[in-house]
Amino acid sequence: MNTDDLLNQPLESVRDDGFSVGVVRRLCKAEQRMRFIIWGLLALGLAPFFAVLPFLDIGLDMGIALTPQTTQFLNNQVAYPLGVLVALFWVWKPRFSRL
Amino acid sequence: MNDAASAERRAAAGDVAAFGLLVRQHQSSLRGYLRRLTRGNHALADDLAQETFLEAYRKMAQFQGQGSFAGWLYAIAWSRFLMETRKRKLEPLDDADEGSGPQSDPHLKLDLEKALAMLRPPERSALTLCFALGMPHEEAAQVMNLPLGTLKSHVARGRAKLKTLLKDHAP
Repeated sequence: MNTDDLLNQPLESVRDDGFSVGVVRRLCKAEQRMRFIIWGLLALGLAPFFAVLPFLDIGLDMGIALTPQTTQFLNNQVAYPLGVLVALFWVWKPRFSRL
Repeated sequence: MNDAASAERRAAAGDVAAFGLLVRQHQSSLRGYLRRLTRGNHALADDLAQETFLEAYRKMAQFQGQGSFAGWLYAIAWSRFLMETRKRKLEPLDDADEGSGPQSDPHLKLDLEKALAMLRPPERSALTLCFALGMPHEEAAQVMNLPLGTLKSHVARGRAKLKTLLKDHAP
């Protein structure tokens, strides 16, 4: 057999023996670690804002500002029809329960 | 679209399971190639193969489908091997080790693997890519990031050395 014939022989087949599974497992771990780092850094970066900014007060202020408008809307537009619907449902409730 | 191309596309989109298919498909030839490069050091070859696949997954989006996926994978493996060689000083990449070949033991009976192990890494890689893996010279040159002429001279020089080694030490 000459040199070229020897060289042309295909590479010896290497049995997997869990190699592929190991690679995929390492890949998943690396992905998980990366995700953890990214979210960790994001949380770390945002932490000062949560600590410093008065989010609770903002929520309270918004609630106070919105409540009268909501109440007014309910009074004018929805309250009467809603009351009628509830009353009708109350009357027809036995029929619904029999169905 | 065939299964391999579909797996490549899904892997590029971050599908780990699809990438697992590609690993299973290419692990044997890639590990075989790296075993040759590392002169039969199976543990190191497998470490390098694993790193190659991990790097391939990270860079998967960069694989545009120009050229074969296998070629792209071998290119990563070759650069990983070179980095490892420099880091560990496994063997010099220049001609300094020439002469420390079979002459040191005239009774040594050589087989192909042993003879290849005596060549310089670029010659070993070029011969393996072009012969055992059947790659065209152009693709092998891309894998090794060399000009075509340089690759051809690695092939010619490696083959000539190999002929001498095998002839001198035939039983």
